[in-house]
Amino acid sequence: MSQINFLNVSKSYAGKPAVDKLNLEVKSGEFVSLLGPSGCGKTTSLRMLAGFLEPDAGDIQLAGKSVLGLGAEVRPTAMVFQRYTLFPHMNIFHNVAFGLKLRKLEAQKIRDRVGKMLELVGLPGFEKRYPAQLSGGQQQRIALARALVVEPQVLLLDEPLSSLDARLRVNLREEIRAIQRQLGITTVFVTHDQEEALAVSDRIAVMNEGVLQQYAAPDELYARPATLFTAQFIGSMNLIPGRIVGGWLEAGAFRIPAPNLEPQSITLAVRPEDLEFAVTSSLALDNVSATLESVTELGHYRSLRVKTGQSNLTVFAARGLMPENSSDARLWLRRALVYAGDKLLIELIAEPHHKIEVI
Amino acid sequence: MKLTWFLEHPALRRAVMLSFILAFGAFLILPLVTLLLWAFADRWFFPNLVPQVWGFRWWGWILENTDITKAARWSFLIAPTVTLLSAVICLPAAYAFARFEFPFKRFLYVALLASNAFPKLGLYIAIAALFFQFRLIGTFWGVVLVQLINTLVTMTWIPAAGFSSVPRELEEAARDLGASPLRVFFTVTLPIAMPGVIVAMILVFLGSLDEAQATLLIGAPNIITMPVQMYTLVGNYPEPVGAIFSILLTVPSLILLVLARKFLVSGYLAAGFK
Repeated sequence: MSQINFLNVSKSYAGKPAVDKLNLEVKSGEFVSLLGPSGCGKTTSLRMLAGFLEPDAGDIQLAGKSVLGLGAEVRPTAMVFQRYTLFPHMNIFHNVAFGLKLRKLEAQKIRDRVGKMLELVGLPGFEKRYPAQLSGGQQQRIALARALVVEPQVLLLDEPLSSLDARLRVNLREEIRAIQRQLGITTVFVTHDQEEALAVSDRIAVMNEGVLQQYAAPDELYARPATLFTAQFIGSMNLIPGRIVGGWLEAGAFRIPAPNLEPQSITLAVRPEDLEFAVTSSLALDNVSATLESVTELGHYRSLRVKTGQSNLTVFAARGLMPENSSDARLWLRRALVYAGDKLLIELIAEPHHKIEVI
Repeated sequence: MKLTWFLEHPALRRAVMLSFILAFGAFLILPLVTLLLWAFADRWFFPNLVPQVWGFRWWGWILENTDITKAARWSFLIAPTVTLLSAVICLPAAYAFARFEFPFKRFLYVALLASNAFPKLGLYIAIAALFFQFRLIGTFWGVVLVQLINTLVTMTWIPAAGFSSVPRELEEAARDLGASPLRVFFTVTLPIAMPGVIVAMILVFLGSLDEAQATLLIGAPNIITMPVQMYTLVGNYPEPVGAIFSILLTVPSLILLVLARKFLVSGYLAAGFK
């Protein structure tokens, strides 16, 4: 059953559309990320869901019922904010108990639930401390506890990790994901960090300039970005402008048979790990000659700058291989995506040791 | 050679600093010392540096003077009334200035200063003419009303700065957890902005205790507060009377400042907002 539904939701600020006809449904128990650069409309969408903003057009439904016109205080959502999350004048107990007191629970019950929630977020016994005495990561855990303790139907996370340092960010996102799984709570997570989104989400909604670009599972999003924007935004991607003419796809040095495609200009998009660089004397149709420009060590792999024809391409190579420069260097294309305009046209996959074929 | 060459020598720099501190200290302390000396002087003539005869003669006279005790009662009735009324009127305005956008906002914000832009006495005389029509001259509410005018700037500007320093996220978090807007204000916004509100209230309270011009024009002859009484005392009695009265006027300020110290110096709020 779908828990959240955005139906043709639009919102503009001073005539400029911030969210444009957004359609998005989130299933019960799902962890969905809204991903995009700043100003893409992801936070606006989240705030419309939380009840801090009203859409100009369209409908937002929770569990099948429209929530338009309902204030944030009556919607069954709870949010964790990016900054200034805890009430500085209350200790941790009163912070977490804030929502419970509003629900008029008995004192003993409140104490029990706060205690249990602090245990869940890994900070038991912190009741008496004040927010200023806590680290950034601890503050965000408490904010999570404060949101979860009221047992919302939907948990909203507005870049809760962006003010933390890298290592803590990775740990905390895993923990948030584990807690989310344990409680089975429907969660919408706003982030501009694609790695973060890929790591924790069931599905990711990529947005740009208020328009939903693609809504898919992380592996699908990485493997087959539906738009050129997503292709560039998610992971690294080599983009080579080219065209289809006379049954051939020509892009940079690559020439690939494409008998079934209409003549048009295209963009060939290739992941660095789908290129293979090697020094060999065997000439074949399935590779092009290339020269090595530079090597960057990235720990568990190497990033190579390789020049072929007019284009400079990034190639990821395993750590064990140390490619040397040679006039006999060749570049293989294992897999590529073809974009016509902004849209994905077709995926190309090379058979092992064969010419790349249009499939 | 630079103009500040003397600051480069540690000894000279210390000497300069010390003399500044001493000068400033003397500027603050000496008038108070004189006041204290006069308050306990039964006889003190030039050229003696300290009084010839010490004593409490005038203290008894003042504390038994019914005019003065009556004036004290009026003062301590009017000052809290003005402070509370001013808070009730100005705090919502301060919140609106801090949080909402509305037409002529900046103009109105600055316009609060208008009553300070004209010579006070002229303004009070015009007000007195108006109050005469409404039979407010010589009444308690007439004095409260005219004093309120002076409090507007203080009671709006300082709390407005306090309110706007409260992060919106905190108010939103409280809303999100189920608090109504009014409850958000009283449980989150107001407590966090409290130091600013307290400071404004102290300033207004002390301002009211100290106000003489308007109170004299509007309140006389029925409502005589302590500062108004001061005019009579200083004009008609020997110096110790004025000195003792000044000390008595200082006591409430001192007590208030000590009580409010927690709010004035506390850093616990700022620490949460890094």
